[in-house]
Amino acid sequence: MSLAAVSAAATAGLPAVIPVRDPLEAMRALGRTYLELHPEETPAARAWQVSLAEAGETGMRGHTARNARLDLEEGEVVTVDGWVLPRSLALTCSALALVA
Amino acid sequence: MFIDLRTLDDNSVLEADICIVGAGPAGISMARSLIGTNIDVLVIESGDMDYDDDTQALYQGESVGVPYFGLDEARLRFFGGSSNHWDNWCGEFQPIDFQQRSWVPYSGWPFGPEELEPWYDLARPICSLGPRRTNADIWDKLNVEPIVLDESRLKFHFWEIATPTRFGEVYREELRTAPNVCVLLNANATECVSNAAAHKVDSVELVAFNGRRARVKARQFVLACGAIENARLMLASDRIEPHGIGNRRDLVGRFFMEHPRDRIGSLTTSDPFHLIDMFRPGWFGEHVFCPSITVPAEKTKTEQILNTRLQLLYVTDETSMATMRRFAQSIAAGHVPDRLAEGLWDLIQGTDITAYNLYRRAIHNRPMVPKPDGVHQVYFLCQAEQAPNPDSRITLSDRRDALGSRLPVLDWRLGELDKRTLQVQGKLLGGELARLGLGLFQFDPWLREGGTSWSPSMVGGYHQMGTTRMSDDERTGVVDANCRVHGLDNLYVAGSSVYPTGSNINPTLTLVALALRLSDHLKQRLTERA
Repeated sequence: MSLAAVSAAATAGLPAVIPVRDPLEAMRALGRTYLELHPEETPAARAWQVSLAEAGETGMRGHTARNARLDLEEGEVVTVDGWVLPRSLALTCSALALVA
Repeated sequence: MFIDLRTLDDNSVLEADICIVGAGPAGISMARSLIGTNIDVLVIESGDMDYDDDTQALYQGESVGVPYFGLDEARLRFFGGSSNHWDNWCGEFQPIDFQQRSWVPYSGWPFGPEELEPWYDLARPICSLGPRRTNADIWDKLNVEPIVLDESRLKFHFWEIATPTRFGEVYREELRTAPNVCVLLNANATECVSNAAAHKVDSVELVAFNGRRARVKARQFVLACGAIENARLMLASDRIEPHGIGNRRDLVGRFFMEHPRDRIGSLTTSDPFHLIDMFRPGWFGEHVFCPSITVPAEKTKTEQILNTRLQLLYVTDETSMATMRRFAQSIAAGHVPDRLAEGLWDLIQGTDITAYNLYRRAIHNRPMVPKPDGVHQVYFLCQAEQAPNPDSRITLSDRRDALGSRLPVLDWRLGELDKRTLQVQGKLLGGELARLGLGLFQFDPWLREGGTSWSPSMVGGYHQMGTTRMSDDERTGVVDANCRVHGLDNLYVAGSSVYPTGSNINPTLTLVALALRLSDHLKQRLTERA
């Protein structure tokens, strides 16, 4: 899985929220924080890596966006460093952190 | 009729059917509702018609818990009470507020919302409010398209705002001319004296700053001095009962509640203007309504949280809006605005937004908004319900005020449920705003994961409640459902000190409704006995 693809997928369909120079690094940091706070999510993040890889580079963007929308419809949100995010986005950030 | 204790003979004895201690919104509302009856009413007021430093200083006290305002800053001690400085933001309690909630210890009123509804109807015009409105009605009249919240998670609730009603000014003449009402000014109640069996209050002792003393004998007594002073007076009345009158169960002064207010977090959004516009207070005829966000009752149950409200506010560096408001107020008052040149320069610099705001007001009757590019941040402020907590309380200090009464000590405490409620509600809010594509919400540091303390900027709403709480069971309440002190035949309490839970809405409208209900009860009681 390419990091760039994960990055693109993660931000798909969502507003830009992290005012840093390197969005990728911000996502990794968010992912690391999420896993530190919720180590029980590590298996889910690994599974998420696999599903992102299966979606392929072209499908990743839609995959994350679709799941994020579903999360928001169902109220499936998590808090990471104070940000209220759809769980799928937190998992994508976590997947990125695991790759790093 | 108004009389002044300082001019009476020393050790005078005054008699009445009902003695009401305190001439704030509760006391004045009760007295008004008794005008024209054959019941003699004596209203005792510590202050005079206007503010006075020495009298105000009698409100001083100590605060040893969560940081709080100076106790002499949060209230006003002259005729009209704290209505002399309120902004008249009002609202009715919601049905959930009356319920016994298994996840909120000590929750539950002895009656439901239907009991208060007719009294709210009577209280509304007293507080200068219009008739009850539905949300749909209000949105329609405000000419705003609200965002469509998932109502299983969040809902809108409006504050109702009227021109501040200064009870001491608006209702002064009525009381002055009422044949059966007497208001005694400059009379500080220092003790309620009961009979030897402590089943009945015989008198209330009074003292003025010039040393003149008096005693009131009445058939019924009502304490209407506010949540801190009601408890203070009962605790200080320890001549017969050593822990204070009506305090056999050690409940007087406990369960002090406020509405904690603080920022909970901010929103990163590309379109702050839509939200700011929607959340601004807007006019409905003569009245103003301000939207806020609460959690539906069912959701508070599933999430096991309190009933809290959130208000959207913003930070801007643009000053033309404030200048316009200042100019409008000065002109309305018939003055040339202060700092005229500076203000005009502000308006010239902000010509575009000034013109737009004038257009909004003139054509659409919409409130002013800030210039979008001047807005730095959109954030949410909570006005939270506080869980009843017996350790959050008023006690008495060994220090005394200028008239020899022991000072109150406030130990305001907040608990885990209070904080968790804000975290859950913020999460629901963040999820909804993201779902609607309006932006991403981030908690302020004190509410983030691992944040263990309360925010240093957290304040109350000047809404003191709960210290003589109501319950049918004397083991959990100071007063019964009629606001009569358990164990005492003729001592009643009016005001927000009787609230078992405090909701998230400003307390005055509800305390006026309860005061009217208490008046009616006393009227019936005195009539039956006659």
